[in-house]
Amino acid sequence: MESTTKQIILANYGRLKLARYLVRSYNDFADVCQTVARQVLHCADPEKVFELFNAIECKCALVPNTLSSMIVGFNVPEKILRRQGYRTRPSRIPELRVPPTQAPRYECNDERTTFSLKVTCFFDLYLLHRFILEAINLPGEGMKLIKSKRTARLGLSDSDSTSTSFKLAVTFACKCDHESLVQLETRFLRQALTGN
Amino acid sequence: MIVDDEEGVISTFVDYLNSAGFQASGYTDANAALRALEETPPNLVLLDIMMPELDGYEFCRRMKLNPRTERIPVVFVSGKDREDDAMLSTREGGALYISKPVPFDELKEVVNLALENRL
Repeated sequence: MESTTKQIILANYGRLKLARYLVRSYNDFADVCQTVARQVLHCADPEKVFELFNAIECKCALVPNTLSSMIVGFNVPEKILRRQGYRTRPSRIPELRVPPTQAPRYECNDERTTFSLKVTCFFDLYLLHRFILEAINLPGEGMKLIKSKRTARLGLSDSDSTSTSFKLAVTFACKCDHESLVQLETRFLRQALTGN
Repeated sequence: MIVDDEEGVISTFVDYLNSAGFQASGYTDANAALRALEETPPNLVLLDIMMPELDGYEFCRRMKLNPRTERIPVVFVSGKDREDDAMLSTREGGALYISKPVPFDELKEVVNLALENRL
């Protein structure tokens, strides 16, 4: 996203504050993605949701001496941090529009299945979250992933204190059918591109 | 400093952190903790959210309004009974949000990061 566009969006939603979360598991990752997405939906014009997702920068650092814990930070505009209470249902998130080059990657072998994506902003993180959710909803294959959720490992690479992006990987200790994932990717991209 | 209205949480955290080489103190009374902050500012506050009389948000807000305590990093440690805790803790000036239960080894590493200004 162009910096001027980002500045205009952020100017409407207040100054940036760095929200940091300790993310220890796949469930934490999913919770964080849903929390930030829900807050944006509550506070923003539905048509501006993805622009805001793109404007929210992400940072990530591993917690030393832990298996896969990491601190994930988001530069969130102040107006998005209002108390919501969640008594009302937020607007539905519009259909994703995903450039094919931005689609999450997946690898699977006999022991594990890994989903990954290069992340520069919250939109990328949300994309990875949605892709994994779609995989979990796959008939047959999804149950293996659900059973492996508690032991899923998070991995971080291509990140240092000066980089503005990182690669996040979520690895489930189970084998998924490669063909099913190919079909999922095709469907995900088709939905994302056409809204159908 | 650890501020939590549950005595069991305080004693567990304080015992563990002291055995790991830190100098930890705990308060179940948030108002007493605020007074202690004034007298001897700690390097870090681990703060619960749901507490009687003074909740963690208000505690943090008062810390950030006081020039003597405004720079002390605050790590919110909370049960996930409210989904917007994480966002609100940021608004009030929290440096990090952690959901309970917190494994000891991770708590120790987070405390180290905070004390080294690496959060």
